[in-house]
Amino acid sequence: MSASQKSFDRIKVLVVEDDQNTMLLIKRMLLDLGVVNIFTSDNGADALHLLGSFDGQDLVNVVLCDWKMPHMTGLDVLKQIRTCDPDMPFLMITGNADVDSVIEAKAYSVTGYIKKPFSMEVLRKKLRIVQRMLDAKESNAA
Amino acid sequence: MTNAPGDLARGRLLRDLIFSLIMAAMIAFLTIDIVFFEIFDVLSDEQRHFWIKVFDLAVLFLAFGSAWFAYRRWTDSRQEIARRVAAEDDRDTLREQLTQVQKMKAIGELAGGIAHDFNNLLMVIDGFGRRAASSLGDRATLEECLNQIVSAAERGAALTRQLLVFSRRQAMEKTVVTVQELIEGVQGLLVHTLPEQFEMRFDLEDPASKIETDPNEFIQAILNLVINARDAMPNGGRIVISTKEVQADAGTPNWIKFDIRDTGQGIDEVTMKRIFEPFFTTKGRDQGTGLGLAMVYGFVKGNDGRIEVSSSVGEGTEFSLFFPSSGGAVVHTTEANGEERRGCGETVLLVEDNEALLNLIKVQLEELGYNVMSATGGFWALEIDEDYSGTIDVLLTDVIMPGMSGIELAKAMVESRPDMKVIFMSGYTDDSKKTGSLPEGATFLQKPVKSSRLAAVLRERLEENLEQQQAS
Ligand SMILES: Nc1ncnc2c1ncn2[C@@H]1O[C@H](COP(=O)(O)OP(=O)(O)OP(=O)(O)O)[C@@H](O)[C@H]1O
Ligand SMILES: [Mg+2]
Repeated sequence: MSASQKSFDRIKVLVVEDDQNTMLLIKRMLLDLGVVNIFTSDNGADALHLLGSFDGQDLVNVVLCDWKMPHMTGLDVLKQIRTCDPDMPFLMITGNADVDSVIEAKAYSVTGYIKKPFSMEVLRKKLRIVQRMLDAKESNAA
Repeated sequence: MTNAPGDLARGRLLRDLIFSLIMAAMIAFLTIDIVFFEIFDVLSDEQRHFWIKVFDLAVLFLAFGSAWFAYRRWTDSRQEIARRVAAEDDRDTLREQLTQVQKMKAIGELAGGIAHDFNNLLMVIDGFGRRAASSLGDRATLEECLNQIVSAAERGAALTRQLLVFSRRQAMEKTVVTVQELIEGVQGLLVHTLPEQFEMRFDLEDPASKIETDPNEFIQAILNLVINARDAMPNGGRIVISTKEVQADAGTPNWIKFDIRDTGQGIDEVTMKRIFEPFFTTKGRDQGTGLGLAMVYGFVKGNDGRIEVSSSVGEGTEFSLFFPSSGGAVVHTTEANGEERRGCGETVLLVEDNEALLNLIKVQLEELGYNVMSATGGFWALEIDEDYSGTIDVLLTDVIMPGMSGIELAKAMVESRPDMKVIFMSGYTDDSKKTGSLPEGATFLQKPVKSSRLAAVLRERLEENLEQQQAS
């Protein structure tokens, strides 16, 4: 497909990642890719809080979430989100894509994965797909 | 589900309104606070301090109130949406149950008649069976008895078929069939149903014309009409089934017309007004259910067709059924039984969120000779779309999937792959209401999809590709 350098200014991302350094890296990458709307949270509870806030669903249109986190795992976050928003794009960030968590995640209709460690190109591709999903949704609704 | 966004918007409006009211109140209190107690120095110090505290408390109270209110509004709207979705689901199941109940009621009515008929049939079988057993030496009697038994069994089978059609749960499965094929199906059944004093004639003007329908229900409908004709001619007579294609207005498909004409007693004007009413019958209680024409009517309407009757008392009756002609290619049912139409290594992208079903269809496609890539959702499909540099000949996708519907997926993909054919599969007959209309030129397959049907539809779409290439 044409690797057009689409700008991602319509993407509004929420990153949930407990590891400070990884978080920083992801944020850098997102900024470099031209994503301007970035929310971050180092734990699931805060992330849910943001999504559950007044305009949470307007503020964010894609969630990138680490899978292995203390207290609340990525799966817990996904489950919670799915109870009220079955369509929110949710990409899980996994270290070792272990089979069980993948199957579990699919049961809660996870949107996709990003395997750690990932390059900027990978992230760009994933975001481009998210953008295509959003575009298609919009044109279908119109 | 469809009204959720509307509700959200309305909820937001209300929320904003109440918010601005609270804000206005807070500002008002503060203004009074400042204007009256700071600027106009009307009260004593002590009184002033007291009133300032009162107003500050009021402002504080309002602030907390609004925060609490905001929180409640938010949780309420969430729950409300969840409830609504649940209610919608309930309504759907209710409606389903209702039609089911109606059917069961009809079956109850039918059952009386059928039990009666079955008893007669069993008596015939029993009687002739005994007779056969006691006359084993007499070849002629034996043959006659066995013939009677076989024909009784056939009548029994016809009866159960009628019941089954009635009690079927799933939506109709429509296919494109030729007039010829339909009439052959009718002939197959009629040979056994009509006694000899009836003359049956068929007259097909355009046997190759096609309509889209459920062949089983079609045959059932024609059978009902023929049986009515038979009943109208107690002393025998002629039944003619003729078909032809009739021109329609420009822009609309032609009509395929099926006439069923008899030389029976006819229908008088008073009766004519009521013949399509369910349970209306002029036959005795044990003989007619009055459901025959009601079924025919429902069937015709369900196929976007119409029905006309003309009759003159003492001379005969003619029922005419009109169905829109279908331009689509014929999916040959004969092929479905025999060898399937195989693929030639074309690439199919299969998208289905149910993994078990995905695997099943994948295996079927591979057995048919296709190169299959599969995805459990729109995102994965788009990933394949980005990664795979070869051609994808066909996108075969479920319609309703979480996150991204099949229709949205198709929209996103055809932009970059304009030659790709799209085939939708769904368990619902009318997904378009939930997910927006199907794109033009798309093919729609009703689940459960039989391997043979899948094979036929795939070939149909892929070969239309070839034709286009040859044409250009
Ligand atoms: N070809 C016909 N000639 C004369 N009368 C007819 C003809 N077809 C239908 N009718 C009239 O319409 C009535 C309703 O027909 P319908 O098929 O709905 O019920 P039925 O034939 O009485 O019962 P069932 O179909 O269950 O045996 C019949 O009772 C009969 O009076
Ligand atoms: Mg009848």
